[in-house]
Amino acid sequence: MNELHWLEAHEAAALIASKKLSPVELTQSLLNRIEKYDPGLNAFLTMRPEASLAAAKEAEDIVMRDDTSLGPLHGVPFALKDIIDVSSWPTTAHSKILADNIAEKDAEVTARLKAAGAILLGKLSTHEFALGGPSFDLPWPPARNPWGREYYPGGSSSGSGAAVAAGFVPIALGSDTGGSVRGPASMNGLLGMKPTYGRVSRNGVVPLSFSLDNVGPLTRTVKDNALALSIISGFDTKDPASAELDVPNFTKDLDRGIKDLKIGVIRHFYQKDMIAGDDVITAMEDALTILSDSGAQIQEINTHPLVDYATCNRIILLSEACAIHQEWLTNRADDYAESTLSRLLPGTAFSAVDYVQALRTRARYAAEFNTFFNNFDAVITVNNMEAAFPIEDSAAREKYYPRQARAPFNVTGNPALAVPIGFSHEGLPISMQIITNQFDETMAYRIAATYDKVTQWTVKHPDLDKTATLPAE
Amino acid sequence: MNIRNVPEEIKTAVGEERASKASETASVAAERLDRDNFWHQESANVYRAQTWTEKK
Repeated sequence: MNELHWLEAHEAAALIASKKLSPVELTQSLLNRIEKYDPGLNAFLTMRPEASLAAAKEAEDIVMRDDTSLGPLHGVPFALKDIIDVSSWPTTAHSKILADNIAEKDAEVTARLKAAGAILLGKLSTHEFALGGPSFDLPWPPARNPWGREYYPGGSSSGSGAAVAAGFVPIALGSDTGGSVRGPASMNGLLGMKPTYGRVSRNGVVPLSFSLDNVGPLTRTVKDNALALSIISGFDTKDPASAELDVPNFTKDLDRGIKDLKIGVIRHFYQKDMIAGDDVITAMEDALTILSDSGAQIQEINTHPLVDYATCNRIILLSEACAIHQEWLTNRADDYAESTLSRLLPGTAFSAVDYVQALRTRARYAAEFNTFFNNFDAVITVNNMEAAFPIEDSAAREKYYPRQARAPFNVTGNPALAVPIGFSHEGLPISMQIITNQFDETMAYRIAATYDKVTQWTVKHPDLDKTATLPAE
Repeated sequence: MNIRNVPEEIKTAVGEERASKASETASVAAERLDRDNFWHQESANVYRAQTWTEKK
């Protein structure tokens, strides 16, 4: 058997169901790994090991009773960004402001994972309110990158990315309003899905921007990501944006190949609107060659400049966020991290007309963008323009933080899957995005699976003894 | 460029320097927004009554 911490979730579930692996053994193994390495990575904010082990024991008892109704993640550990509620656990959003906030109920996604048999290991570090960060002026330190703890792990779902890449859990959930699942996926060498807006319920999730927020999974493999999305997706009357649609089995086309699929590539995002680093441009061209060699037809397409999408996203996001934060900004401004304040405050200054104009522009951009899918099965573009930057270098943070191409797909609402495409010359992960038609996440997974079979980037893992240990005192 | 201003009560809470920087950032973004919409272009958040029924 592989080392337990690198087991894929679906592999672990199969081993548990066939009584070849104990959920208690798996959970204890991951808890030991977290205890050993998380002091160098800060992925977890809250853990209750006794409760996790008790849940694992209960899962084991169910298996030993030969219960035939095991869920698809029975006995498999997972973790949640600390903006997602778990009944009786704190949901802090990594903020002093919610430090004493205890959730009364499970979020819908938490309930769905538990119903699938999964075991909660803990709540994960985030940028404050899924917006600021990385911040060193909060009660808890920011998460760090398992590929090199001196590097930024992406955000805002920082702990989610770090925990999965470190082998602490095979599945973590994050949220994505301007790219916050796909950013950590990019910088940690993971699969990260921003599903179609409305595919996954946000009920029980601390809001950042009601019309842009999504919940999505981060995993080490394509199959696990598709499996996790299948579990958390579905109509929920408690989320007014929830889509009343059947949920397909997103794993069904993973082995179908991509012969004769038509894929558009948006090169101007990373070769004109922003100029990506050489490592990223080379890796993107290599990825397109592999997709072409696998039978897809690749054709360059053009859309609005990246800055136009980013501006539209920013005005909507910050206006809605400030509607939520207005009272705290007035009464508790000193309790925010500096980076959260600086990102949030412009949202208080936009006019009502600015906001509505941005919403009208959004509707137009979404309609225009979705006409691509009359002729194409998918669209590909870059994720981050560079690999991770040093987390404590404030100049690098200012320079590189906005250099990404994820916000356009929060604006349009399409599914967008972050897929690893290799490593920079420093050995840090880099990533592309596969974007598909509304509610066609299956197609994104199909293309990613075909690509990954050729490249095998997802079988590479960091050696935490070399990359994640704390420096000697 | 039309200047967007941070509300006074928030300016008082966060200080002049932060408010001034936020005002400048918001003004640049508002100026840059693509507003080339037809007069009849709907907003993306149009009210959908069916999703606002009583929560079950």
